[in-house]
Amino acid sequence: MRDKIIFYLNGERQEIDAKDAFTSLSTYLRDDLGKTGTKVVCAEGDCGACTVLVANRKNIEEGKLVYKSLNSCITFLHLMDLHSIITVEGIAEKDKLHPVQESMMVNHGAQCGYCTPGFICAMAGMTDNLKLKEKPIDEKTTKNYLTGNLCRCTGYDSIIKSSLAVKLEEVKPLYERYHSDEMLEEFKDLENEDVVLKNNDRQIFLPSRIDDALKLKKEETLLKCTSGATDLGVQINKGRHEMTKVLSLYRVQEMSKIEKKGQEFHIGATATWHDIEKALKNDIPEYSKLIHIFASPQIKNAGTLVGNIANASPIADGTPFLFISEAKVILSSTDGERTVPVTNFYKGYKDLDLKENELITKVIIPIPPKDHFLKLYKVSLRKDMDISAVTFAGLGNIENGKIKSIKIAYGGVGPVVKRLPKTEKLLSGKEWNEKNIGEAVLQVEKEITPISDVRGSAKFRTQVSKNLLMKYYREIQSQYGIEQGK
Amino acid sequence: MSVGSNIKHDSSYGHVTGTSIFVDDRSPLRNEIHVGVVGSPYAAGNLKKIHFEEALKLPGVLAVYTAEDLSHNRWGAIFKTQPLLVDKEIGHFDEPVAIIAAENKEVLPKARKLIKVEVEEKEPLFSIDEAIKKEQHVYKATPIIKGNVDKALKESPRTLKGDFECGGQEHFYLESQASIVYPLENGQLEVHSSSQHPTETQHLVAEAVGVPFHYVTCIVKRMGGGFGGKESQAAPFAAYAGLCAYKLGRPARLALTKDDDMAMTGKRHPFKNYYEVGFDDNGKILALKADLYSDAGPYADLSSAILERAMFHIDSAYFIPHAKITGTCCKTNLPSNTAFRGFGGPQGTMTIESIIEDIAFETGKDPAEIRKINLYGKETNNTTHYGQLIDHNPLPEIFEKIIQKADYKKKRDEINKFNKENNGKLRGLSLGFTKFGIAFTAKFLNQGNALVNVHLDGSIQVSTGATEMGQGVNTKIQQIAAHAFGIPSNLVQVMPTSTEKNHNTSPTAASSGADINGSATLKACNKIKERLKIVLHKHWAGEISDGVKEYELEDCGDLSHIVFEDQQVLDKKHGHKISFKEALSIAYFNRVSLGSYAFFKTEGIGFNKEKSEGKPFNYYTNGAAVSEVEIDEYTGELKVLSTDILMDLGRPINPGIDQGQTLGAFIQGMGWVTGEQLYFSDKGKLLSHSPTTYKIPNIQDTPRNFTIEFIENNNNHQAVHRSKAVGEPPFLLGISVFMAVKNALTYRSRERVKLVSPATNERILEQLSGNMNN
Repeated sequence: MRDKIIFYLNGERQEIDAKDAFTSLSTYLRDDLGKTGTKVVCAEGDCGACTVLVANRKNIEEGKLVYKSLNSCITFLHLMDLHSIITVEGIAEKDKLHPVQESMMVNHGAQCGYCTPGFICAMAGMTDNLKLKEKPIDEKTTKNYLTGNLCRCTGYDSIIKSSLAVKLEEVKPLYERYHSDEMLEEFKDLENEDVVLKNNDRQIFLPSRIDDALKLKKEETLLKCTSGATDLGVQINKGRHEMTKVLSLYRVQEMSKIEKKGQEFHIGATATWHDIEKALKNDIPEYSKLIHIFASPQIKNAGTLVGNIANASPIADGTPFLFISEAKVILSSTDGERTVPVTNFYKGYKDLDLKENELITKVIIPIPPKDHFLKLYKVSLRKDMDISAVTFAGLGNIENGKIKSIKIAYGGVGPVVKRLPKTEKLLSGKEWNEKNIGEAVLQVEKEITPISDVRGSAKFRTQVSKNLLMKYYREIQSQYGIEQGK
Repeated sequence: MSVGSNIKHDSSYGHVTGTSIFVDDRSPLRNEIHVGVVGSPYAAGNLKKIHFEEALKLPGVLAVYTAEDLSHNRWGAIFKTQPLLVDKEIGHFDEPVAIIAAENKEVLPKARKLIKVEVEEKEPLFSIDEAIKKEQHVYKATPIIKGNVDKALKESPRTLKGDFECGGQEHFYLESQASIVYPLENGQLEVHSSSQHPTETQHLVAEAVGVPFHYVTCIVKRMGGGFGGKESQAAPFAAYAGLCAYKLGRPARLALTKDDDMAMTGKRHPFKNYYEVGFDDNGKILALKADLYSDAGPYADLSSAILERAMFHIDSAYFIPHAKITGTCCKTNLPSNTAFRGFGGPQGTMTIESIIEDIAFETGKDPAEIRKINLYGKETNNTTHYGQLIDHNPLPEIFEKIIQKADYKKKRDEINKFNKENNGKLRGLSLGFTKFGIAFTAKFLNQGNALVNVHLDGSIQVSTGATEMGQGVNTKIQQIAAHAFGIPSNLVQVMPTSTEKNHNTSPTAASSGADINGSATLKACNKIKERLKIVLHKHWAGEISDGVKEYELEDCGDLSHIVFEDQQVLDKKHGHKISFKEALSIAYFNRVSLGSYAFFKTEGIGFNKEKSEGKPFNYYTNGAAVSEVEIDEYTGELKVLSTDILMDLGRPINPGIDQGQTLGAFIQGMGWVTGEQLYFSDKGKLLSHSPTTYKIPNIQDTPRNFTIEFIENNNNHQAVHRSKAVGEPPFLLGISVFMAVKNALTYRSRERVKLVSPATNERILEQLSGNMNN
């Protein structure tokens, strides 16, 4: 049992005890270490100014630690056990600037400079990744790596040009510069060790085995479970939640697995969005595409699908698909396991079929049959890095111009994500044509109960919901040209 | 040659390495305290009492201050009517009512929750129309009148009547308002503020605590973005920190969270403009009558000047023979709106650009044609509605070039075809102009001063009233000074802006930072150069300087043959040459000053409001953009497919910086008219108070095809080195995206499209939903 968090910061070993473990990484950097290069703007993981690079043993590819970008403002120190962290202060090699820094200077990639350190970290992470994969820097890749970083001055153009001007062959990768056998050896030695931090009324449990996690869940009350804490971090920063007891699962190796078993994906509770997006690319490309615009890279590198499920937000972008693919959640406790279909898991607004002593350990997603038609839409004010007003998931089994069955789910149109059984029933067995879909569209309106808020009015959400079903039909029709009976 | 070259931003090394110091990056001093602000829980009402006894009991809380603790409690850039802390009437939700001083920042939100504000509630007022109905306004402008508009409207073959509405905009500078105040000896204060206006900040801090101005020094190293949001509204936050520092005798730090910043501070003014326009069958505008109404919020702030700039810019780039333009700043209970890049110009320009689109719809012509026939001419039709002649008008040239460059006609043909396919996507195209008047319309603000100190090793420190917010003004000043002395720019350091070196400075605003402070710098450099020339003239002429005699500064006639180049001083007439450093040494040992101060004012401007005549602007910065958009007809989602920009920036001092200003301004303008929507609760509380709910453009939102070019223009003798101001003008080009949306919607509409800005997907879908098949 260890009572300290251990990580490396720009190559230097750090030990953190219980007193400081609830501190956010950005606060630790700025206030405790005086490393003020990392900026905090929104304190909610939505602007990227606080971006740093981190890696742990899960991120080893070809023997190298592959650093990923992370929002340090919503990352607590207790989430950083056995990580190597690089901040903007660690990007240059002593006085020799990293090529992304040189390029940002020459190409006017920085104006006011407040977002710049975050961009520099994200860009340096990008060059490492591309170098390892022997891929070139192009505009699309640049934008994808920098989606999570907001800039108000440049209009991004000079940042994109800065990125394109970097010569990868001149990049001395961070995975080499910060490589240390000693550090990796230490991480390996310590990874099976449980960590418990206690300080007055605050307690942090970081088990390394699932059984221990379940035991803790049984013994301790009021335990908040996290992995990436991308939402919890926001709640705490904004004073909506005071954390006293937390069980963090990210150190449980077996929980981060993503396995394809037959026609199913078994996704562990701590598997990140980033890993899921990659793993599902070939088998469920439509879901992978949705995950692509789900959030910023920084959030996808930390946040999890199970977190999205457990958070139970009616606007959780990831869940409508689970409703139509008829995914199941595996709930574990010391008493054993139970399997609950996602469709039954939500009892009401933020009300789950989850017992006090249970953990969601896994979600099982059946791969939709290849000959069924799957479409997932997310409608938000901004395409990327935004929370949806409405999400739609549709999966139709259409044979010989007839709808054999269809599954339709919406998010953002009621207190929970929901399937539309009446609309589904209305369409089932009908001819696949515009007239029938048009009738179903009218039924959609009756089955949803959207509200008005900052992301859209009820009227807008209703109209969009109706339109999305029609869009589903027309897109499939124009893509596949299904033959229709007259 | 330094001027005209694309050198790096002078802070770029610090920015990319994270070593640039912003206010809240300053290391804490011993004894330093943290300051928090308590906002009003109501949008309107009378303040009865503030209960803070419970908060004071929290360990770490040192003091809670309210209006009573201030020495003076009325401020305002133009009209001094706004309280620093509410003393009686509440103006808006989250308006500062009290400040908390504490040992640490963690306790601030807890203390805030314990402070209860007792209010006698009043019915708040949240819309322009309501304010018009109830005649609530903070300012009414003198109308601008040209010709006889009523007669011209009556005689116009066609007229259109309507209104145009555009929303506000959060500045979203990444660095929220921040100040640190250090108490010095004898009640003096040293203020570090993220402020575009150190002088106003100095004054306000002094007034708040009750000391004379010379007790307070305000220093601004840099801002993490300003965009107008720190022109007037940085000062109150410095005053709060100043009050705590003064009262407690301890360094005081105030760094707002983004949420508080967005909720408490003012934004771009929403406008609702009612108009009647007369035109002929070709779409040529004959008369325009427009009544502009801005939403000022509860206080005047800079609203009057912003309104007047909107009135000046309602012509965009078009000649209006008869005009009557009125303006009113409405009083509402929303956060008090303030300067924002463009300063009313965009709201005026957008109105006529929308009218142009409508005229095109009514006459069945392409909007570009309407724009062309109404464009200000080179020799004729080149006087604005307020009587200023447009000198060297490049607009016709810009029009021809942008049409070519953007391939406008081909794009239009393709769109006509594309939109007939009915494939769920709809495209639109538009062209927009900027003809932005450069100068503060308040004439007295067009002044500045500079201090130049040359050191014996040949390096130079320059101090001016300009503040650096990323726009590169310091780099331009660096280039101007380096150019003057013929030395590399890295030998010039532009120093933090400080009111002890530069007095009574104007805000860095109105795009004029480089014009005014660059000119003052050049004047100061030239004074030193003239002295050096005399010294060298005497030195080369063999005059004796031997410890008894020294070179006296006296008129030596024309010395223009002595020039400063390549770190040398050369006598081109007599073939002498000396290194710059040696020249300095000679001057120094002859007791000749190597430092200088200079004052600059913009000549030849002035406007008589009563007579609607004169020259409010020194010159215009011009440009045009063509944007093409695509709309998803099911969801209203918007993509900008392409934007081509053409700018007239004279001879840029630093083309790289000017390009960055142009593209950044464009994207900010695009954000204003598309996704950036402010959302208030029915109680007047801002609900879109963070990037989770307020969406500025991100990197994926930039036009898929994005090009920029500058036209050549060597004629601008009105500005330093024939450059042109760049900060605000290109913001107005973002409007082309909105007009492209409006244009797209006409393809599915039988009537004129009445689109309110911003064109969110909700508003777009609202327009389309009448035409959906279901």
